[in-house]
Amino acid sequence: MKKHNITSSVNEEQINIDVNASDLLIDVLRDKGLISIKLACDMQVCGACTVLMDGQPFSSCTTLAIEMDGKEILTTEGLADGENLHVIQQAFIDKGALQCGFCTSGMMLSSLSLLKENPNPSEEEIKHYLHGNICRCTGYSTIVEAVQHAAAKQQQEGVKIYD
Amino acid sequence: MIKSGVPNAVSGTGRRIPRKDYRARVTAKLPFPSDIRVDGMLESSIVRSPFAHAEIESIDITDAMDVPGVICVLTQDDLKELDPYYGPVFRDQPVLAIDRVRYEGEPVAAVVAIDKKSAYMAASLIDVSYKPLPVIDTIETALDPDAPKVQTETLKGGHYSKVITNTDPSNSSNIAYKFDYDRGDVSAAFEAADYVIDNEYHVPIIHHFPLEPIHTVAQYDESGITVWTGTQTAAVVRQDLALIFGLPQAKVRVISIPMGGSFGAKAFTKIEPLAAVLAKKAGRPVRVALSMQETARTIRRAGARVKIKSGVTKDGAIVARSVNIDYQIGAYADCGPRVAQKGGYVSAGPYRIPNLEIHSRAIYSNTPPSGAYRGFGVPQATWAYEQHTDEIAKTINMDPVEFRLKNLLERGELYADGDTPMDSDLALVLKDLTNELGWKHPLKPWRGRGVAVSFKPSQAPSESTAIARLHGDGSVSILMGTAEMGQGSLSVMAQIAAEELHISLNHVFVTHPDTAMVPFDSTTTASRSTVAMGSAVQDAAKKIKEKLVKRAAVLLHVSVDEITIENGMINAREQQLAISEVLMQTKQQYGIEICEVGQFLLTPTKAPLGGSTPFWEPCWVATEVEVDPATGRVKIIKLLTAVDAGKAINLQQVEGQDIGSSMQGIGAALYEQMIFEDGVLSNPSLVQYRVPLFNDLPDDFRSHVIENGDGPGPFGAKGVGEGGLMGVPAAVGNAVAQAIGISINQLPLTPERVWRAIRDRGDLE
Repeated sequence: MKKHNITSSVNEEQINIDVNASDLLIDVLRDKGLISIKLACDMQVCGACTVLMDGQPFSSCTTLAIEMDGKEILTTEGLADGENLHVIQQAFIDKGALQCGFCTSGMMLSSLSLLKENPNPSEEEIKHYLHGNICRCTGYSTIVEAVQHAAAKQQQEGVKIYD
Repeated sequence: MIKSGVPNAVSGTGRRIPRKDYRARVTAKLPFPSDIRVDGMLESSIVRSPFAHAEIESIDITDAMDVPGVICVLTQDDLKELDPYYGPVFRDQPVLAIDRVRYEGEPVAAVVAIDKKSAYMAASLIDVSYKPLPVIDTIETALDPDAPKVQTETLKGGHYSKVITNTDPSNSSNIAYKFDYDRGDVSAAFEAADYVIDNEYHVPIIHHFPLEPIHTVAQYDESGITVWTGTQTAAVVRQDLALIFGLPQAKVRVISIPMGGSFGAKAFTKIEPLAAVLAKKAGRPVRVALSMQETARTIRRAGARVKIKSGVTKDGAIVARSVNIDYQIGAYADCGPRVAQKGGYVSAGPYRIPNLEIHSRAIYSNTPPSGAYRGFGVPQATWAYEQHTDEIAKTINMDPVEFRLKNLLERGELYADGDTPMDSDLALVLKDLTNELGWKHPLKPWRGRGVAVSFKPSQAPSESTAIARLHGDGSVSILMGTAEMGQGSLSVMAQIAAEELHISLNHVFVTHPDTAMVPFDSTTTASRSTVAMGSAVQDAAKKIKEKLVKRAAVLLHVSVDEITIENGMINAREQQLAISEVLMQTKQQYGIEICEVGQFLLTPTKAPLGGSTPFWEPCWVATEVEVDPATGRVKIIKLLTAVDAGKAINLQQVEGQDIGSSMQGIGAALYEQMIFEDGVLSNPSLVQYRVPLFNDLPDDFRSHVIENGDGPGPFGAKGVGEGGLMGVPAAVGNAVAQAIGISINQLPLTPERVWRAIRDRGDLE
C-alpha cells in the first residue's frame, strides 16, 4: 500500500509521519500515545473521539489520518500548561461534570470550540452545540454548568479560553 | 422543605469535595480498560452467530489460517481440555458455542492475530455451516408448552449458590427460575374488597450502552492467569476462571481497571474466559476488544410482563395484591434469575399490604444474556405498580398522592417478615416533593403531573474486607476490591479513611481491585460499596487509630484518653507530634508500619432473599410533562427527585449519581428499546438506539439528598446510585396519562405510541 508523508502540528509539536491512505485519524493519534481520544460508537454519533483540527471539532473515528496534513490538532493532552490546568478542565472539576470520564475529553474539546465561537453561550446554545456528544453517566446538567462556569471565568478574569 | 444536612456534619465528608481522580481524569492520565497494552499483546476478532437458534454443522477455518499474521483460531474443539462453562447462577454459558448457538451474536469462533486488521480479515473467512432451529424470542413463545427448550441441562454456578435454591436443573421448561412469596389470605381479601383493580404492563428489553465497550486483556503462563479487565466483580471473574481452567484461585489474578461506564453491563463474567482461553492457545497475551454493537449482543436488561391486581377499600386502603411478573432473560442465565428474585420480591411496591402473593419468573429466550442493570429488576416492577397505583386512585376517586401517603410503609414497618424494617420517611419526602412541584396548581392544556415512589433492597448476605496500612511517613494505603466505574468509590473510600484517622485526604491512597493484592469483596453492585466496603475501610482505620494512639500514649507518658488527632498531628496536654514521629520513635518496640484488616459481613437470615438488606434504597420522583398532540412527543418540563443518602460522604457524587440515574430513566421512559426480529437485534448501535442527549434535559431538574445520619454505613451513610431509573418511567407515564387522558401500559412512550393513544382516545369519545 502506498504511504503518504504528512506534516502536522499535534498539541503544538510538529510531526512528520507516513500513513496509509486508509488509516484513521483515531488510530494514528492513539498509536502516538494520545489516549484521551476514545473509541466508543465508531460511527460519528457519540463524540468520545473528538479532536480539534484547526479549532474545529472532528470525530477522529471517521476521519482519515491524511486529513491532518498541514493542520493543527489539539487533544486533551495539549490543554494544560504544565501543572496549570486549562480553564475548561478546572471547570469540569469544579462542577463535578464527569463520572466515568470516558466522554470528558470530547466534551471539553467541543465546549472549547463552542466558547471560541460564542464566548457567552446561553443554556440552550450549550445544549444545542454539544448535542453530538453523548454522556451516559452525568445526565448532562453538570456539564452545562461547567461550560457556563468556564465562560464566566473567561469574562470575569479575562482568562483566554482558546488561542 | 426536605431535611438536608446533618448538624454535626463531620469535617471531611458530606460536602462537595472534588474526587481524588478528577485531575488525572481531565488530563487523560488514567488508562481505561480499552487503553491497556501488555508487552507482546496480540489482537483478536470473534466470529458470531447470525442466527438466534441453530445447530452448528461444521466450522471450516482453513482459509482463515492462511491469512498472514494469524497466530491461531479457536473453535469448540479447543474447549475439550477445559470445563468451559461460566455464570453466577448457573454455569450454562460456554466460552464458545458448543454444537448449538442460542442467540444471535453468540461467539462461535475467534481468531488471534498480530493486529486487528489481520484478525478481522481472517474471522471473515471462517466458514460456519448452520442448521437454523425455531426461535424463542418472546415470553409468550417461551411459555408455550410445545416450545423447544432454550437450555436442556444446567450446572449450578458458585456465586449465588446460597441464595438461589429452588431451581430445575433438568430444565423441563423455559422457566429458568421461580420466586414465590405469599402472606395472608389473598383470595378472601379480594372477595371482601370494595374494588378490585387488575392491570397488565410491559417493559421492553433495553441495553446499558456504557460509552466504553467491553475490553479484556488476558495472559496465561506458568504463573497462572492474569486478566486486565473492566469488571464490577473481580472476585466472581476469578472464581469462574479458576473453575474453567481447574486452577487454584490464588493462581488467577483479575485486575479491574476503572471502567468507562458500566451500569451493570460489566458485572459478572463476560469475555474474560474467552480472552484467557485465547491467551493460553496463542501462548502470548491477547486482547479482546468488543465494539459497541458486540457489547449490545453480550449483555442487556430483562424485558418484563407484569400482571398486577389489587383489592382496595372505599376509603383507600390496599387490602390485597397479587403480582405475576415474568422477566424475559436471555439464552444463558447470567444473573437473570437473581434479578427475577430480587425484583420480584419487591414488585408489590413500598406499601402496607396485609394479603400479598408474588410469583416472579425468569424465562429463557433466544436473545443475548440479560444481567444486572442499575435497579436490578426493580425499574420493571415499578413501571407496573406505580402506574397501577394511579389506576387504583382513579377508580376510587382519590388523589393519587393522597392514596400513596395513606398506604406507603412508615419508618419501622416491615415490608416482609425477617427483612429489615423500612428505614426511610417515604410519605414525608413524597409530600415535600409534590409540594415543591406544585401538585395542586392548575395545569396548562396537554400538560400532566405524575409521581412515583420505589424502593430496592441492597445485597445480603455479602462480605467486604479491606486492609489499611499506615506507613512510616504518615501516609496511608487502602487495599480494597470495590471497582470504579464512575461512581467515585475510590475517592469515597479515601475520604472515609481520612475522616476516621483525622488525616488529610491527600495522604490516603486507594488501590483498585487486583485479586492478587486486595482481600475478598462480594461485588461492586446493589449500591452496597459505601456501606459494605466503606464499613470495612472504616473498621481497619479505627484499628489503626487505636494502635497509633496507644503508641503515642506510651511515648508521651499520657493516657490514651488524653490524646486527640487533628489534621495528622497527635496532640496530648501541651505536646504535639506528627504521626510519622510517633511511628519512628516507637518502631523499636512495635515495628514501623501499622497494618490492619477491617471487615463487613452480612450473614444469612430468614428474610425472603436469604439475607436482610442493610438498608432500603428508596426513590421519589415528581414530574410535569408536556405532550405535543400533533406528534405525540413528550417533553419533560420539571423533574424532581429525592434520594436517601443517610449521610452523603460526598454530596457532589450523590447528586451526580441521582441526576445521572434519573436521566437514564428519561431514556427508558421515552426512547429506549432493543428491537429483535426473529431474535436478530436490529438496533445494536447508537445510530439506531436512542439514548438521552443534551436536549432531553428537563427545564427544571433537581435532586434532593436526604441526610438523617441514620444509615448503617460510615458516619450514618446509606447506599445510593440506582434511584432515579427505578421511578422516573412510571412518574412520566402517570404524567403523560394525565396530559392525554388515557394511560399507556407499555414502555417506551415514543411519539408514535403516544400519538396513537391520543387518536384511539378520540375514537372512543
